[in-house]
Amino acid sequence: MSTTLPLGRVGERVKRVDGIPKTNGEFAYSSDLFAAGMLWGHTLRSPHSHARIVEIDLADALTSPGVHAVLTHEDVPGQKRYGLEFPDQPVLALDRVRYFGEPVALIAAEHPEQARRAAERIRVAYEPLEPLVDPERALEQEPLHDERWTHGHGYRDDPRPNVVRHLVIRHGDPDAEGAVSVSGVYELGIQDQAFLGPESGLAVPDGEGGVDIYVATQWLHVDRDQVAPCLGLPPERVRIHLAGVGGAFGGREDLSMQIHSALLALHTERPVKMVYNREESFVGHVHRHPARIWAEHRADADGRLVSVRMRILLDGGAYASSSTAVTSNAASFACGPYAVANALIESTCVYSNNPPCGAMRGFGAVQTCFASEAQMDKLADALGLDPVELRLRNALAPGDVLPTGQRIDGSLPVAEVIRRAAALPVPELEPLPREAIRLPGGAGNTTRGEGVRRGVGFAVGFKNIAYSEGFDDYCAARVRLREDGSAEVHCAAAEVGQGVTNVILQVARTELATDDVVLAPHTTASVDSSGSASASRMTWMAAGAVQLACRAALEERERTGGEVDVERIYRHVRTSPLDPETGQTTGERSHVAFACAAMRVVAEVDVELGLTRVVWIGTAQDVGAAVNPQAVEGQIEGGTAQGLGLALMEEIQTQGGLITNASFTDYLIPTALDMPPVESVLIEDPEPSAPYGVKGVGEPPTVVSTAAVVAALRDATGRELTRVPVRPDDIVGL
Amino acid sequence: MGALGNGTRGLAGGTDLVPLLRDGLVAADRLVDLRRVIPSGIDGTAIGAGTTLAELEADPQIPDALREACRLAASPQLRNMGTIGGNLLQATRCWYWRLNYPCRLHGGDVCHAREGQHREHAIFANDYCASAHPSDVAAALLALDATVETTRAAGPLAGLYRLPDDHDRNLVDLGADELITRIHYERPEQSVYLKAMDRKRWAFALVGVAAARYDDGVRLGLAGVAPIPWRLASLDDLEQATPLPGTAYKLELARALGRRAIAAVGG
Amino acid sequence: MKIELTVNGEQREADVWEGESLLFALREKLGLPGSKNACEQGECGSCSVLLDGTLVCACLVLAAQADGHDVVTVEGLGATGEPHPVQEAFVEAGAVQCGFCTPGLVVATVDLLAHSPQPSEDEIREALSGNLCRCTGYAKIFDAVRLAAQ
Repeated sequence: MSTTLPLGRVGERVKRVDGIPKTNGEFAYSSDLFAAGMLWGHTLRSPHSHARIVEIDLADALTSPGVHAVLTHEDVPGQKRYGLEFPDQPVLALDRVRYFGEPVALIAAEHPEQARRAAERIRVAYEPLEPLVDPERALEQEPLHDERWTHGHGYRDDPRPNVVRHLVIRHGDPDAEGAVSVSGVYELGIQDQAFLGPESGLAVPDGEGGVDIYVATQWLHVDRDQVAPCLGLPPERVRIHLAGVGGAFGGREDLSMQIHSALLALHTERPVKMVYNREESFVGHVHRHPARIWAEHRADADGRLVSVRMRILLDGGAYASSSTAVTSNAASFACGPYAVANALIESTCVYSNNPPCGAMRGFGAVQTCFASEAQMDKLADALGLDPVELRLRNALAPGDVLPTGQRIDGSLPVAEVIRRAAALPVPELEPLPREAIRLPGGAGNTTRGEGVRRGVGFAVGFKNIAYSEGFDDYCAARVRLREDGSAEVHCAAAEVGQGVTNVILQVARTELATDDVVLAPHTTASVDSSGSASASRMTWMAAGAVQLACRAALEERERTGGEVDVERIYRHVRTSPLDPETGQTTGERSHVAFACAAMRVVAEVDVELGLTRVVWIGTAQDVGAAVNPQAVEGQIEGGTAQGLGLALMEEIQTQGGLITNASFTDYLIPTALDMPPVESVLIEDPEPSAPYGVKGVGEPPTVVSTAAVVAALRDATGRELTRVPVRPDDIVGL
Repeated sequence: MGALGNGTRGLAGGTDLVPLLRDGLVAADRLVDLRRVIPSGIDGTAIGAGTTLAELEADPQIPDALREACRLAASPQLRNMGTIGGNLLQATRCWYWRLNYPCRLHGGDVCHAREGQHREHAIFANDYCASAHPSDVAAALLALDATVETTRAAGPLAGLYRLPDDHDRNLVDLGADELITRIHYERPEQSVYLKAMDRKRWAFALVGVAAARYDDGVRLGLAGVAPIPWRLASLDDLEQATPLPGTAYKLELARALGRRAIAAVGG
Repeated sequence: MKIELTVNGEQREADVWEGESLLFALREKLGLPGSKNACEQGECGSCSVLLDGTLVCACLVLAAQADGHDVVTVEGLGATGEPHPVQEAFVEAGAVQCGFCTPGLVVATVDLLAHSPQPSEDEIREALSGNLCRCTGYAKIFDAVRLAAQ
């Protein structure tokens, strides 16, 4: 990383250090890599969502032009399965496939087209099985897995079939009555991260039985720790190097082509490049859990919450990924950032033959925020209270106790974000006539004002920063101070677009009081784990680690006077698991810290056509301390866009477990014309336990924006709109 | 052009054909670049089939309905490549067809959409096949009373299309080596194209309505409502629609858009 | 088959398979991976290049169709060592996060400003509507275009 660009310290608006290379095509993404003599890898995937594999005949594929290898599970030398938390996912299907697109075989050939054609000549005899696609039926069906993967890990050992995790949070007296009660059933479809950079990378055998894998990922070390056992190699023989990442949003936490490319590389003794196309990308990574949520909220006549009862059903799809944590997050944040004395939250994630689900920005809190904010609006309506006022009356504050029994002892300025968001002046109604793109229907020119109604919505949300329930993640950083005064920092914190690279450099320059700092390439070979670029944790953890390592390096140089090379590990405060039966924290806390955001959305809806225009979004977010304010705004704007997408247009469509819209033609994400201006206010209430007081900022806007957009649509249309994405068909309705 | 047919296909802008080739929905051993062969350019009310959507959109002589249909048909990049002839011939977006289900258009004997997921599908002529034709340009040209000239014949645009049946699953009535050369339209008093989409830009029509006013009344052309571009003599014809449970909302859209389109052209 | 074309002002040739896209040829045969492969279906604009001065999606142009033609990619925009003003504007405005959409947007912006040096808000939105971005929400991209237009 260059030191010649305009530089800056913590708190300044600094240009991205990788900015110019990204604008002129020089920045090397994982699909841009090249090695002399490389082959192209390709994956044969299951066309069935559930089937037994009777036989695989490779004969014709092996003799296909340009082919160097065709591999099945028999060629996996080590552990046959891997997984983020449980090794329940086959590297290549064993006797059964459990989801549409599950990898079955691998091909390496001279040209990707040759590999694709060879894949067509692999004859797999499948015996299709009835797919389990209704999550409400999962508990009555035959188990999809032979082993109880999630038992014996401290979670509730649920005896029912196909339970990934079942968590109950019992807080106070959930039967407590109030003056009013409102109920609803809410549903969210499957959202996709839709990062633009396809899954891709290059595996290079080192000639001594080991391998170097260059890949776009969110967590280098956990990749290595899953890859090595499957290759039958000790961890040091598998080196993961971060290649340029084209976005992640949770979709790169799980492995994609890492083991596959390494298998092909070791087998052929040639470098192997693999690049998924967009269709393959849709099936090649986990998605956001679709959810069904039954909710009942009770409040007293003053609008104070008396009890929240919620049942959350998450469809985890074929393999567990990080579903146990999503289940717990959904439950932990189900009541929203409000103080409530009584709650009963049941959160269940089931296995099915639907597309596997796992981490996506917001991680369970998105789903429950949509439900609970709709409920809060219903309460406001039932009580004749202003929706913002209702939320203020219940706002959580430090010192309050969450339904999990954890007392909030850090920063959580819920009332302030609500007030500041509510205080942002709302734009005036634009007079007619207007340009088409300033009306619902946009470029389609569908109205000149006929049928258009305006609506305003408000929502508040929060979630955890960093991993929870005793996961105890950490971050390592290594600092070398050279004789000439220059510094080299090593930190495996994955740059996925969020700007952590800049954070590391800003912190290092600040701590070392010099601009002569270089960030070394990210690799498992030169530094210990930094944990995942997830859970809005990376800025905090990397800043903490780099700060620690810099200070240690300076101290060491004081003592020894010469070159210095120190590595330090930064840990956040310890967390404890939730009790399997009561959902209460078994220690002082199950979450490290929290961040909240409030958002107001102005929308216009053409109620005769069901078309929507989001006019303006104003938000206040609790950011702790903004290391780089420009980057923070970028996270808020981008996170809001993803929530708007879920609200209005994004859904993975499935039929019998098969994905029917695996393309950007049919899986629509917001374009430049769909996004309104986003006005953001950064509330800097420092987090006491964090370096510089920082908090992660990536997830809160996504947590709250779907709920806020739909609230505006409800206001405009008078419709209940209990499901997202909201389509024209839902508004026009009959 | 005896070279076409028998595994040889014509390639113009490629924006529809190239993805179809990649997805294995169309097979070709050879591609012939048509851009030097078929006419392009605008000459009064005659449009060469090789004229790009971008050229049409930019020309103030072209009626509004057609200009707007071109503008809405695709992104700026695709408008620079896609031709008007190619746009008329584009394939349906029906995912059952695109995923190679053995449906009627693929020679099978069932329409999977009818019993399955069909919110983007047809409300007219959907008994045999419920796919919807996506061409905005065709809808506009139907309203503009267009005729099509090919290397073999000339006739109304509507004659370019046919509904599939057990004998012939083709949606287009064009010989294997027959090429569209020119499109002619009738200049209207006023015209407009309205397109309802799932997002504000660059998506296929849920319903698209083109209206063109002539001395003797308003002509209407619709996209997204039938397996072929659909002509309506009047909005009353909407009562003949046979919506499926999941496409009933399209009837509402067609009614509202139809009313607005007619009002917009002063009809 | 062999193709010969001008790329970024230089005469180049490449050996391509008939069905290969211009995008693949640029990235894998001609050492120019700047144009990106986010969808390869013409849906996202990340592969935008100028073909004979016209903005197109390289993923839908067959390499064979580019034979004898002139291509400008994102790598060909700035002078050697000097970023193009549009590139600088993108960085200055904070419009780059993961950056995967950036090359396509830079090319589309250069094309817009060449045709319309002082574009209106609506013109900017129209011109960039064929380019998808997943990280930024587009706000700072618009800032960048306005900055570049100055």
